[in-house]
Amino acid sequence: MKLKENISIRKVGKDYIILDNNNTNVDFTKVLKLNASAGYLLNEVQGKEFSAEDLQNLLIEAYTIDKRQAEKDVSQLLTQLKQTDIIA
Amino acid sequence: MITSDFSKIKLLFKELLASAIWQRAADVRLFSKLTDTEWDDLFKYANIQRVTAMINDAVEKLPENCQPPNSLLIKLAVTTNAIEQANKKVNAMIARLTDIYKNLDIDFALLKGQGNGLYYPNPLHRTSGDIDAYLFGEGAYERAKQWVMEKGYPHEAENMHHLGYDFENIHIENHYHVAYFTNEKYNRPLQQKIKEIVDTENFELVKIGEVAVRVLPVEFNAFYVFEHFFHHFIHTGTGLRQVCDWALLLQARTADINKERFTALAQQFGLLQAMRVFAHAAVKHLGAKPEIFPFELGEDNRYSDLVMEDILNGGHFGLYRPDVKNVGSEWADRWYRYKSSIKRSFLFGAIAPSHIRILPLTKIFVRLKLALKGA
Repeated sequence: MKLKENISIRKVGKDYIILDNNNTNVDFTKVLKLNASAGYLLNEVQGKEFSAEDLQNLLIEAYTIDKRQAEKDVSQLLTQLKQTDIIA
Repeated sequence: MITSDFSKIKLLFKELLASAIWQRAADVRLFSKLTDTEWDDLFKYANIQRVTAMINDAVEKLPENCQPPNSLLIKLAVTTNAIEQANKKVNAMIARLTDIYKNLDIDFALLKGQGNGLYYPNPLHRTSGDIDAYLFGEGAYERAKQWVMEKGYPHEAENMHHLGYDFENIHIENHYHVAYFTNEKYNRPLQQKIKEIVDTENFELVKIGEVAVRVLPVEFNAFYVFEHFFHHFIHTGTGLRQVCDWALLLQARTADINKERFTALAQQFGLLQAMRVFAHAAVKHLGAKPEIFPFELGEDNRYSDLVMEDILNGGHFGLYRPDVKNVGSEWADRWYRYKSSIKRSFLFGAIAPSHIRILPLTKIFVRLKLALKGA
């Protein structure tokens, strides 16, 4: 899978937001908010093909968590991304 | 609408803007106890002055305990992102236009706009506007006009100086003149100066994205950027983005501007006194260094505060002054704008008398000229 082209991932305070630049209107209600680890993952894979396993490995490496926790977090993140149409 | 103490909002705003343009830390003491409403008003006010991405840059550098609530940080980030995207679109359009005009054998120089943006700490954080292209060379303007008509792009009624059209939602103005003065005493030498630039191909080449584009030579450009916003200032008002454009250009290029020649240029066109007033205003209110201005500042007077107050109260093109209103019919609007110009000519006449005091008369003259042309 791949993130949609023309999206911006911006750091806001400690968190991140994802913005769809294909939508030209400034719409504060359509902002996907992510925590720092999710923001880190998306920055790492932006513009690249990636799998759920790639995300899990990145998460384990950066945050030294166990595999089960990584699977859970990545699954939650992917659900969010699919719901908001961020994955191409 | 600003609901909290407007004087306080203006003070906080100036501090954030100065922090962004000069890339220095803001005085954090001012921001440690702001209410959510005050932050919200600061955000609204940054939009009024068209400098939201700059304010975002300053806010991001504040220590965490002085930053606005998360919801406002998100609003700032979303708006900043939109400003960046708009700049990228305009830059891409400049690249396309360069190709198109080249194929039509049309030479052009980019005026103000993205050319000014180059001097910003982050060029993508200048709120972009339309594309102003000065077309020169035999028949260039007419060829471009014919191309616009053939393509059927939506366009405005052509005025005496430019033809504006929309190309994929970006407004482009093809200019026949770089600048003009209604007063022939100034206009004749001005057109002569521009002709010299064209005849000697004395433009600068700058990179907008990946494309090399002509802009005015820096000394004349520093004069022109001021002349242009001052023109707006005397008619309706100007916002701080335009003052930032001028100050940032001067800061970046002071070394390339000959002080004596620039002073003579400003004097020749009756604008030296006005430039001094705006320079004092930028020094006092925005923390500009006096040495960036390529002329002696001289004594400050009451006009620097008056001018800054007008800019702060009026916002972008003076559109947000409480007394600005749309009266309704075309002629009622014109009468209202005319009355407003007279008022401004009394208020600010002394800073450039040869331009401002004659304003009520020149406005009538221009209107008559347009009426005779059927506009």
